[in-house]
Amino acid sequence: MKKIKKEVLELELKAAQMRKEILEMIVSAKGTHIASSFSIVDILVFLYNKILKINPKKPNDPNRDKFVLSKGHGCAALYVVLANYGFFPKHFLKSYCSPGSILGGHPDSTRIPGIETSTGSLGHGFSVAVGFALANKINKSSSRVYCLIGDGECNEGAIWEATMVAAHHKLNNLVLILDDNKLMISGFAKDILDPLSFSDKFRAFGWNTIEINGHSFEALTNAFKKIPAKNNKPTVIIANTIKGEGVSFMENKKEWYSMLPNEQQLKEALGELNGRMKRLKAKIDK
Amino acid sequence: MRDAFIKSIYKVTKKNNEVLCMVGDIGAFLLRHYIKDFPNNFYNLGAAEANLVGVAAGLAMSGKVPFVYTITPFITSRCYEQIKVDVCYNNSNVKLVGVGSGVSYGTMGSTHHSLEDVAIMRVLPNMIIIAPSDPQEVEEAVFAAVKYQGPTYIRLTLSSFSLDYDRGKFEIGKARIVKKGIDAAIIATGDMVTIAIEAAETLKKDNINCYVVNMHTIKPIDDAIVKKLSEECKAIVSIEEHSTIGGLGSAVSSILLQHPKNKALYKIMGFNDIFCKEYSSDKLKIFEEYGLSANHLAKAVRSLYNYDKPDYKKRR
Repeated sequence: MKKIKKEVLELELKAAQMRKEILEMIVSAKGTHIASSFSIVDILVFLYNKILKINPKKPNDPNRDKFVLSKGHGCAALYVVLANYGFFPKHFLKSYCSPGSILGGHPDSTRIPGIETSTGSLGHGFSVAVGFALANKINKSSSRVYCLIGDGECNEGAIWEATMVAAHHKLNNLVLILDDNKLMISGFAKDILDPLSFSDKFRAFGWNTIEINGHSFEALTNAFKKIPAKNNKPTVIIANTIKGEGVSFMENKKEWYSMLPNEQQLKEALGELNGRMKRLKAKIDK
Repeated sequence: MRDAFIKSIYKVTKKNNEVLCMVGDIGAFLLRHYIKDFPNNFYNLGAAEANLVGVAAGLAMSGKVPFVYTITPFITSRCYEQIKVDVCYNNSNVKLVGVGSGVSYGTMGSTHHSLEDVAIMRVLPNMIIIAPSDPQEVEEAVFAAVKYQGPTYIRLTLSSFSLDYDRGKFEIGKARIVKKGIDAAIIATGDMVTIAIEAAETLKKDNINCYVVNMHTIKPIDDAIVKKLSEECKAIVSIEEHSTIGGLGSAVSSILLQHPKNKALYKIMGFNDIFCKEYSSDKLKIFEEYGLSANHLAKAVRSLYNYDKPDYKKRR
């Protein structure tokens, strides 16, 4: 098997394993946002394995790359990734959303290693990420800043304020990833506040745009090959994703924005993810 | 005070290159020397204050000391959630500077007034509030803010000449006694300190020897001085260029009510839950209209001081 192909399969396997851990963690805490976490798992797995220059043992290293999860409600996915990457012990995940835990329903930067800024209210993290990128420019640092926002989050005016500022200040050290899962709490984004074309919007705001399938590691790899861009513009990767990706009955269903599976549904969901893992392992071993 | 801030930010940036001056489309003319001499420390992020505060938080968490300067309502209520989450929840070292606080923009109307800013900032954990009373204190506040690690709000009003008294060292959270007294006390902040001095002078004629306290830090408030005054004086009046709800008066009354040795009667003076609908380039005229002149203040102290407190034992 080609090396690249194997690498992709291994990332897919990691992502499937993490989906399982996310699901189990949320269900055991009676938490929420399974589907929102599932749409970003592959992006997070890719960033933490392939892109971010960070050392979990030195989470405050001044020269680190920074990742900001602006759509803070997807933090269950980030917690699992951070734990697997060694930012904190994995057993912390068992305490998720329980008294005494540092891991709440939205991430708190003052308590969780690897969380650069507290998020949860939409439209905040992106501005802070712009601040991080601007500081790197001022300090002539080569570190980069990656920020993940949601498509629903783009309803917030502050997103477009930050978009303008990033382009005006030529923050080509900033990469925005838009998790375009097309679903919001109350339904499809196009029926609530139609975003029309994100690519057109960002291009008009002076950004480089790349549109990809946000669940394809090949597509992510190719997109990140184009970064840093040769011009002075910041880059947005518009990642077309599926809310709930990985569990067929949760995919693209607004009900699963905040629902928890019952015992039978959980069994089915875990069965699907186990099946995916089994298939991937078999392919890798071939 | 505005000019004092411009001079202070220049001085402090010269000393510490991590200091940044960030604005939301304001002050280009006044800051022209700063912009010329420190082009890499000045950021005008446009009339987009929510993002401005978020970006400042990111810069602060990267080791910068950003002073974010614009007209008070636009750097407080306009971007309040960014202040709550990005600045206070993250406990990031952002310095917010509101210019023209209270009714300083006397002709501009309520959109440009801020009679609620202290209330909303006080309630945020980690935030401290400094309201200088004169230009010298602005400089002291700016330098203290750089030394202090954490969210800071500096509330600038209008006063353009420095007060003459033995002020001692500026310390965040420690009030300054402008004038000592015996019978009564006025606790004032910002431009109201000048009004308080004038009122205390008037009260001398009534044989009321009145303290004037400059409460330049509204949070953390100097509760030791408030407690001391409440044990010594019969009457305490606080006065502020702010709503009577949630500001200096609320902070002082909370201390008084919870202090078992308090024997003082107390009155809060400020804008009484009302939008200021008077226009004048002379702020004193607005104070006059809203019962906040030196004469109004003296009258309030006098009437409180002369009030016959019912004897609780007899009544029982």
